[in-house]
Amino acid sequence: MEQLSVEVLKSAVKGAAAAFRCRRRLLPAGGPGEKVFPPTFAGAVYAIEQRRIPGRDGPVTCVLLDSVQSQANRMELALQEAVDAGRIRIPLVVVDFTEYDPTGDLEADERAGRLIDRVGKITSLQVPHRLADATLRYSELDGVPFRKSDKGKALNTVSPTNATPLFELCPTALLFGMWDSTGPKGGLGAKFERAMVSEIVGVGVEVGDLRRGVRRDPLGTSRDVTVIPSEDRTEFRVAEGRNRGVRPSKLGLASVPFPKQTDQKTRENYYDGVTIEYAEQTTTLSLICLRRLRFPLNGQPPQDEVDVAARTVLAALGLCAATLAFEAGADLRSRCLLWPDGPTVWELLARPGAEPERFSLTGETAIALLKEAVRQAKEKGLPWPDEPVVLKPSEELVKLARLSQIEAAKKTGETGETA
Amino acid sequence: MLAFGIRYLNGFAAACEPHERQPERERPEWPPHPARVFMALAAAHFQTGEDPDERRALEWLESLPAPSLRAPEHVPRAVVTHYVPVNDKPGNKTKPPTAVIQSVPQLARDRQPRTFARTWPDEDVVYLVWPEAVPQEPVARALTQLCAKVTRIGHSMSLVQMWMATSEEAGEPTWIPDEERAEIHLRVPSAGLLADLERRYNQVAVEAYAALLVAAEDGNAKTRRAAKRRLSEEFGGEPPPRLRPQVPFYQGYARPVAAESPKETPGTVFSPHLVVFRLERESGPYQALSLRTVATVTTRWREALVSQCNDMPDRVREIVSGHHRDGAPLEAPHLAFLPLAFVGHPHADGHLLGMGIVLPQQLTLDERRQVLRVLARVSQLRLGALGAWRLDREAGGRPPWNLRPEAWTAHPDGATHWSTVTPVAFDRHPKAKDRGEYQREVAEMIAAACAAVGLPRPREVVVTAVSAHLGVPPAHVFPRLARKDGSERRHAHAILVFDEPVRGPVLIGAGRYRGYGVARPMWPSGSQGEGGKS
Repeated sequence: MEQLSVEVLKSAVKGAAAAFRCRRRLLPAGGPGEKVFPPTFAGAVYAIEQRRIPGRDGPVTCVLLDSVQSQANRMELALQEAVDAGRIRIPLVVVDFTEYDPTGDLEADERAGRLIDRVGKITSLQVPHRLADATLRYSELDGVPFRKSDKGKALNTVSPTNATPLFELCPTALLFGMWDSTGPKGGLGAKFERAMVSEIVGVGVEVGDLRRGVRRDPLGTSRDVTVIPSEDRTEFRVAEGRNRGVRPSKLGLASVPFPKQTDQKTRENYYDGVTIEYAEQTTTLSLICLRRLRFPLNGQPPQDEVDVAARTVLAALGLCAATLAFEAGADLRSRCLLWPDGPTVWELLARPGAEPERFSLTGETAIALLKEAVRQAKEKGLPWPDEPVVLKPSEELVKLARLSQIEAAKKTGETGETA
Repeated sequence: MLAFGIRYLNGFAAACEPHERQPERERPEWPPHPARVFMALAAAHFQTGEDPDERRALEWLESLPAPSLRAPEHVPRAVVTHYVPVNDKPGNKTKPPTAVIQSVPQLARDRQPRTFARTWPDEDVVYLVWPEAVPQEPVARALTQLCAKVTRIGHSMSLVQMWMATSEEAGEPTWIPDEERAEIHLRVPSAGLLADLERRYNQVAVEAYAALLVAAEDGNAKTRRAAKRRLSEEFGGEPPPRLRPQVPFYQGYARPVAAESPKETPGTVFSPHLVVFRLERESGPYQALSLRTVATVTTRWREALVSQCNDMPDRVREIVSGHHRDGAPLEAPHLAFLPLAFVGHPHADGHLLGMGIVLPQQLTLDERRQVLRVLARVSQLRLGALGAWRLDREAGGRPPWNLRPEAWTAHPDGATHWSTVTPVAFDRHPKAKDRGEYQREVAEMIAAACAAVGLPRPREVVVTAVSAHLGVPPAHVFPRLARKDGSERRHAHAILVFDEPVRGPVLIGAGRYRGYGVARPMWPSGSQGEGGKS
């Protein structure tokens, strides 16, 4: 199969094709029939649903294994890892907390107002609201609050018809969407819709055995014997006489009970994973969305060839993010590792009915594609800084982070849960 | 012919039915409403340079009658509550930012619950077809251009490809506009919608205001002062209004009639196409209204309707009021009420979910439209001690089983066994003294009442104190209806068995226009998959 080249990408962006789409089948890493653990949503439920699938009688039970939002985060994470490994260079905004990282000397750290846990560097690929995130807003560029600096101010005038500043600062916001709802314009701020949508759905679901306990304590600790933990929770003593203690489960002892109802599935007892026939991942990169973006340069009206060059970079970046995320493996969460059932194939969707062109793409090729697209875009005068814009957190932001960490530690102590 | 093709690129559609209330917002919108598609085209126009040809094309499009649709069947997806990062507010001097730090692994931030209504269509393509419309150049070109720019229908994850399709491609519609037989109601565009969208979005003012806001914070002292002054002079310091789009027009849609229509099931003089309203509590001591209150609800509702139809032609006023202009009662069938209660389920308690308005079979399309207009004028019932109740027209989607007309009318296949949900009020006082004789006399009266509404004579009539439907109160609990002279009508529940299937609505006896004598098919257990839900 043909490898995707920058020429093909460019003509696809220029032409009328709707999207690049990759639909692939994944199997549990332990082989078919191995249990997988879907994400739980509010009320500890799995998103179990029915779907009709061609060639099958009646609806098939499916389960959501990874949501659109989660997939977007995973793709950004894959890009971040490639940046960290020096494999790609993309425009980034970084907030550098390293000078506030703890040294281990608790007292000195407290005097210097350092953090309790290391935060390190946070980039525009990691924060949820992307370039419009509060973490960036409360950081400073050369001593000026980010949104008041020249670079940050450019955000006030971005729109789909003037996407150049975003291309220069945070091109992933153009791919995964962004709403600048907290800038000076409030809700009237710039809004970009996502161009990439990906999702993983498990097909042919059997819900697991409901009669199993969640944790069986080998000591057989009873809930009726109470304990009194020491202040730092490193020790405890058994409550005797009049002293009333807490249940041993507060300290992580004792069994976690069986679900109350075991004869049928309820909202409460979906804990035990599911088996699936296979999982299907659908990743779509809408070229129509990219075609809505215009990239004027130096205050001049946008030019078609510059627009095509910039959109080609974004398409290459999207394919790169997806491909790198594929190659990072679908290790979605504990006990949910999936493995592709065949080679990864991208379809270029032209008009329905027409047979889509098919391309293969590996991580290395995707990176080469991005580099070439960037080279051509730079030739057209588009900005693509290789070095990140580094911001310093404001003093108050550091203080807030520090106090939040202290609060979080207190809560962990109270509930006995790990954060 | 004009046709649009829409392909859902991810295999699912994400859009929720427009509604103020949460349960409805969790319901995916399917098929996509023509007005939603129109708004997607309008968005493509406004966001990409506002080509005047496109505008003319959209104005032409909005003036067309409602399109037919070819939409595959669908299965709604699971609605689960996702937690998404909050939209953090910037805060100000007196009010600190609400959520400042983010959920990078080391820092935790609040998250808010959100749901996304989605559905899996069986196939990924939908067509909208205007069989009579023929776009001329340059309209056709502008529409082609606009279609190619539509990114999504609904939520931003609902990516689509849209194009101008040919008639061969679009094929036979699965939904056609048909108010008379309507099963679902979809929002449709109408003349002036584009201008209205533009006015509601208020882009020019919004952008001017936003630019001033930025200028007021930035630049030298002079420009800041000037911007602040303009903000207060031109906008009064308030952001210009920006409203969500509202599409007031709903069009009824029905399945196309098959060329060889099956044998007509015998039915009543009433149309099986009920106009369904939900009853929603606004205030008052009761969470729900019992079936026993039917007469109170229908009496008040009828008064309200009669008071709202003074500007209508005589014929429409007769249908609504059930009386001639001179006050004499109308012999021909007229508007009746059919209580839609939670019955027929082990947990059923017989409370009123809503009310179906029943219209006579023999109405012209024009008369039906005018009556519907009168119905739309009454949106609230004040029932004194029973509180105030809102009337919401059930529009489209898949409502609970007991709010679906077919649960009550067995349309189109019919049913042989029926039992009353509200007792049949007797036309006259039974004379028989002997108990057996009394039963026979009442049964005969009920059989005659069936004939009076066009039904065949039932094979059997069982007169009973309790209904065969679970959740229905016994007959003696219902208040008796009063005659003109003040005396009370007796009433009883009944089970009717016909030799051949008949279709409803079955409304019999003296109270049939007031919600009494309403029979519902006795569905064999397990035959209705969704019969178990309220």
